[in-house]
Amino acid sequence: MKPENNLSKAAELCGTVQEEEAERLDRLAALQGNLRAAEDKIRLLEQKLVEQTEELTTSHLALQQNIEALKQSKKRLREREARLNSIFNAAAEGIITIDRKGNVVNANTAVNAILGFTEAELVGHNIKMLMPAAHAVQHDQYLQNYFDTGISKIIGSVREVEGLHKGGWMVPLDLSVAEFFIDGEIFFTGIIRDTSQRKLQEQENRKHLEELAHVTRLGLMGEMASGIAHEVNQPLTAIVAYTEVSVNLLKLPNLDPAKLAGILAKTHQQALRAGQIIHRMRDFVRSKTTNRATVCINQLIRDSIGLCATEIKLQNILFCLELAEDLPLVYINEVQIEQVLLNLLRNAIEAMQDMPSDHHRRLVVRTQLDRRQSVEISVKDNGTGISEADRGKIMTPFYTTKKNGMGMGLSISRSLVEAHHGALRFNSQAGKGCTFYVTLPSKEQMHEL
Amino acid sequence: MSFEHSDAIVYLVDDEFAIRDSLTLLIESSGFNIQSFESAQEFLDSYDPERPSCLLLDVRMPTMSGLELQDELCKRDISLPIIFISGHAEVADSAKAFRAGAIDFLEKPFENNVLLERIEEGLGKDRYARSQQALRDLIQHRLEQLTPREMEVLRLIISSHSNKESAKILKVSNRTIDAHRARIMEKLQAESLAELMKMAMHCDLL
Repeated sequence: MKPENNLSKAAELCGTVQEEEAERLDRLAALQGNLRAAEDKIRLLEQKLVEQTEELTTSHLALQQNIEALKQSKKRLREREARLNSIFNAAAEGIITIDRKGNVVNANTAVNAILGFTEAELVGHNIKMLMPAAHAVQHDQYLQNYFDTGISKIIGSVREVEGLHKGGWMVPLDLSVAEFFIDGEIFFTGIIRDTSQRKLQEQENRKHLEELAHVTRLGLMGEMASGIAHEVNQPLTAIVAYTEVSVNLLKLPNLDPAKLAGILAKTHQQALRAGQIIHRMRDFVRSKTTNRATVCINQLIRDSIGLCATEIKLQNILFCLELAEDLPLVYINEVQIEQVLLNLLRNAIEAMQDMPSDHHRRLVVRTQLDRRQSVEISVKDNGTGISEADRGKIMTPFYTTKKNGMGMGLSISRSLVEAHHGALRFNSQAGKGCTFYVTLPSKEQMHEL
Repeated sequence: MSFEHSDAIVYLVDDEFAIRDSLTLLIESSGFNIQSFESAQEFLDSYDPERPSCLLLDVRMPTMSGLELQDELCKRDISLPIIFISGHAEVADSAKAFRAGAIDFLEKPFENNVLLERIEEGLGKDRYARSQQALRDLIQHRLEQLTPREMEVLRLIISSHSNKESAKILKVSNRTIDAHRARIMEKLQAESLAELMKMAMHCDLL
């Protein structure tokens, strides 16, 4: 081998080595750069990881708080539900919820107490089962009307209605209704209150008032009678004393005719006065032509019967009203003729009071036009009737067949009817009942009188 | 009988003229003095306590009723016999009147002789009451003459203590008691022990 060759070869070799070295260095530098970049990346990732862990922890905490809050609110809801439930079931008022079709969704225990049905017997059934037939057939229509028009007659107010008890009878109720929505679906809640007690109380009060009115009338008559007695007794007392004095004067030896005449004149005066008092009392009943009005007699009869309705019901009386239409109007003092009608109705009711319990009590009130075109009212009962002995006397004042009677009813009634140019008559057979007839001239006839 | 009643008077209170007029004539013609009034107040204004009297009284009157007048007389300590006359007798009214000492409660119209009998009775009662009162006044006047010691002795005598017992109780001699007793009889103008007892009874000493 040639040295130069070797040298050059060495030099060549050296050069190559140097190149390789530089190349290696370059690669190293690049690798180092890469490494740094990777390290940076890792740091970044690590940082991100920390951040994410923190975030996760926070959201985990938040979640846990949420869960706790949910638990709490669930508990509160349950408590609230329990509370509402206890109120729902403890309420004295019945509470029923129905859906848009009228089907019962739920009902509280009071409904059971008031109407006899348990919640299980109601849920899923239509609310109509709790209504009397007349209302039940219309209920779907009520609901439909409300959906169509948005106008309700009942929401927001309290109504008096009747509920149908499981036992088949009616229960008077106060009803109020509210509506609410769940998920857009409408529901109605009805609250019902049993008003039987109140109704009973009202009925009692009314009866009491009627009795009071009756007693007051009797009292007034008594007062009037004793008033007459007191007033008439004054002139009578004077007459008794004057006549006694006159007799004494006549016995004296030296008679003074002038004195005697004076006393007799006074006696005369007092007797006249007694008569005047009686006349005044009769006029009081008779000549009251004031306060007369044009009246439809059928209406007045209905009103009078309303005042006796309780007694009619209580005594199980079958009551028939046969009122002729197209009757002429009458021109009367309503209070007085109502008084007459009440008196006749009460007499009829009392006449049937003592009949055996299996006797079918029957009261018929009829109006018709009589032969002379006057209005005739008849009140017919199938009670004890009037004995032959009593027939002639029952219209006379102070004659009575009743235990607590004043004996003024029929006599005053007759006076009142006669003051209207009418007549009061009766027809009776003992044991078969009695019919009283009141005849009143029509308004036209009255004008001709 | 008119002499007997010379000083006695019948009062009549009734708001009704015819009653006053007729009863006045009747009662006058029967020999009584009578004075009539339209109202209770008029009567109260002219009532004379010195004269024996009785009162015919209507129950029902405006302003003051008969029963109210009876109350008023009671309050004023005037005890004259009352005969009520009423247009229509209420049991409650008559019961009240009788409880307050009325002689009768007559319902108008009444029998005149019954009225006159009651008037007679009323006046008789009043005269008797007045004589009793006069006697009481007289004895009271005499009693006032007694010394305290004599009064003491009188009380012992009327409670049936003998002279001896009285002497023992008062720790004095029998003779002293004898002397007191004589003076008491003298002052009270009593003739006997019986009379003394009667006087004591009259004045409610017994």
